[in-house]
Amino acid sequence: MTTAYISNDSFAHALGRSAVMEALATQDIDCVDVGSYGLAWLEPLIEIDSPSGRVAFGPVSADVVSDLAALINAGANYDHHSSFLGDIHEHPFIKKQQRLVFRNVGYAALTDTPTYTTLKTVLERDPHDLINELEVSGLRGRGGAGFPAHIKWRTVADTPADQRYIVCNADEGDSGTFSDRMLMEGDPDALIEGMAIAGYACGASHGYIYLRSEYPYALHELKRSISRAYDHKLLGNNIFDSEFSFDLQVFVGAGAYICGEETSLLESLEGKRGQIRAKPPLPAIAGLFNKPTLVHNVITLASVPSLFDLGGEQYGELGVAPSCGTIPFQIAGNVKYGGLIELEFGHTVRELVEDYGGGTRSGRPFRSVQIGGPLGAYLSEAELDTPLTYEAMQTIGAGIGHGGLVVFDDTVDLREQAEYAFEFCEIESCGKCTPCRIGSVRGKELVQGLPQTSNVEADIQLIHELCDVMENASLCQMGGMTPIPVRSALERFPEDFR
Amino acid sequence: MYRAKRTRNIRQYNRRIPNTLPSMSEAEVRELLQPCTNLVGGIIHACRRLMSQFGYISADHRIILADIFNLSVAEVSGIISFYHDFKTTPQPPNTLRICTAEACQANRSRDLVKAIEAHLGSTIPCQTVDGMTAVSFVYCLGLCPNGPAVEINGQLVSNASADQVIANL
Ligand SMILES: Cc1cc2nc3c(=O)[nH]c(=O)nc-3n(C[C@H](O)[C@H](O)[C@H](O)COP(=O)(O)O)c2cc1C
Ligand code: SF4
Ligand code: FES
Repeated sequence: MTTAYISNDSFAHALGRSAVMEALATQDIDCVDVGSYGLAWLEPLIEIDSPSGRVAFGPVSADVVSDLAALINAGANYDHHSSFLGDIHEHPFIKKQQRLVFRNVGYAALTDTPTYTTLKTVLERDPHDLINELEVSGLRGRGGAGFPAHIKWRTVADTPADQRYIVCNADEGDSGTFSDRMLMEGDPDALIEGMAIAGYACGASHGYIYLRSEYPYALHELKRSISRAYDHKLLGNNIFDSEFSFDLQVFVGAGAYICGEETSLLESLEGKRGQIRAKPPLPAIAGLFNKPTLVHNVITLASVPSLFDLGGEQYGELGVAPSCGTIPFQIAGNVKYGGLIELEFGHTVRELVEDYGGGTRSGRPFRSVQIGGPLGAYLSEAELDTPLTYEAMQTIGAGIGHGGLVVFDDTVDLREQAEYAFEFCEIESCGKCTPCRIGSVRGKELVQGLPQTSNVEADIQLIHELCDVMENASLCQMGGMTPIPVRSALERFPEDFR
Repeated sequence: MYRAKRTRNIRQYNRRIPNTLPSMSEAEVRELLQPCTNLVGGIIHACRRLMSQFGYISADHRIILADIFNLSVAEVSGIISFYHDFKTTPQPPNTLRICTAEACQANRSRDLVKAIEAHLGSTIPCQTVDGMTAVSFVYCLGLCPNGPAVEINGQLVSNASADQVIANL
């Protein structure tokens, strides 16, 4: 009798997991669902128990399953099978990673009963003490802006109110990012425990997870884990027999990129159009239903249990201060080995693109990498040695955003990409302010017209002026950051525009 | 631990037949939406219920929503029109959504779109000639290393090819 640990991640579902399950059903093999280790090109990945621990195979198809079953039944050696990967922790893509947030993902069974031991220990401590430790750790928001987490926590905790909220931003809208999804599909309990800890530290008794509707598998796992946590009295009233109570619900969005922006998200959560609110007041002071609200990204909140396990001080030593700790990078697009790479801050873009990514999937020469989603900069070869810290990226006019890197080969036309940046802003603008609502349309038309225009330089000048207006006069970063991809393309790849 | 069960092979995407649900009386619609009134952001939940029951939110539904949530019909329409997921006209039973975000562009989703548009004879978003499938774009399905990604009737497909997609239309 053999046990197979099968990736239940969307990656696997999209690459034929159902056919693998069909094949497994005909064999004498027990199945355990796990998350994904994040080696996207090897999905569906399965592991089986062996005398030396688990060994991995991938990508697995129905044929591979029957091969394996035959080898196992015959007591034969399977090491030479073409999909044999061996101990996944020794795989070059995994071996040098520093997995904290993703420590359980891929390994732990989705049906394991959670224990929330970190929550149990912090409930014996003073909430202020926890926020102090968070400050020492230097944790910053992983949603995009990189704002120090402890400032938000303290503001929420110290603002007098009869009700406070913890809101998890799981609207992961950026192209090239999937770490939130993988975490929620592979270890939703890390997020739930992190939210409960934040609730205790900030004095909040209610939490909401705002999940984008494009992630049905994540919704399934979250719902299952939340109800299991209630069953084990890890959510609800008097958790671990303490005074602390915490309720958690999932709210599914309805398809709007802008609802990833925190104030738009709160409007949507209140059942309104997801239009941006002017700041101030900050959500930490007047957020959901005007109550102090802690809004964090999935990865920020899911970092919390491992951070307290490790200790704030030790966490803060990882990375390059003030970019502390680890961040799950995601490498995608035209890349041979795409997937999730959790590392401390400070590794270079080149390490990710070349050492991990292994170059382009098409085999053609590398041309550009866009970092940080649709509002992120297009970088050229010359900038690949920039270390991935908030500070270093800022010096080259770029940002880390949510940690997504999208690689393009030499067939990319950066004029087309700049046009798309404006078009995306046009489609997803909330419409509240003119520079974004109208500017994006005019920008798209200008970039579209460049191949036909008689005076390219004048039009490019006009695009720059439009970018100035959008950057300076937009109410939020949707309009304010659309110029980043446009300008970076114009500056680094001028030949594509002329 | 569990035993894998034999299921239908999902590689052949199940075609859905046109919506033959009996229409509901006003009282039944109200009953359907009642549980949403106690939820935070209840109207969004209610709209989703209507979408999965009817495939769209009709003018009559909008009047009921306005009444239940104590809003004007104009406000309800404003909320519905803000979100891509909500439709106000009847929809075909099948859906095909093609990811056109940057990571899929890097894996030549633009060529995929061109091939599908050539097959359809019109530009996306559109419906197939038989009115059975709505074809539209989606911005990222979270499968970005394995693009182009598409979603056919809710099922995810990585490394999608034009032939494979067209075979399902
Ligand atoms: C247009 C726009 C889209 C955003 N989308 C997301 C998103 O999808 N997920 C996210 O966590 N943060 C997103 N943000 C950032 C949020 O506004 C907010 O800064 C974040 O949720 C705070 O969490 P953090 O402190 O953990 O980073 C977006 C911001 C803007 C301007
Ligand atoms: S910049 Fe765009 S998305 Fe932001 S408030 Fe203005 S119109 Fe809305
Ligand atoms: S960009 Fe297409 S799935 Fe993410």
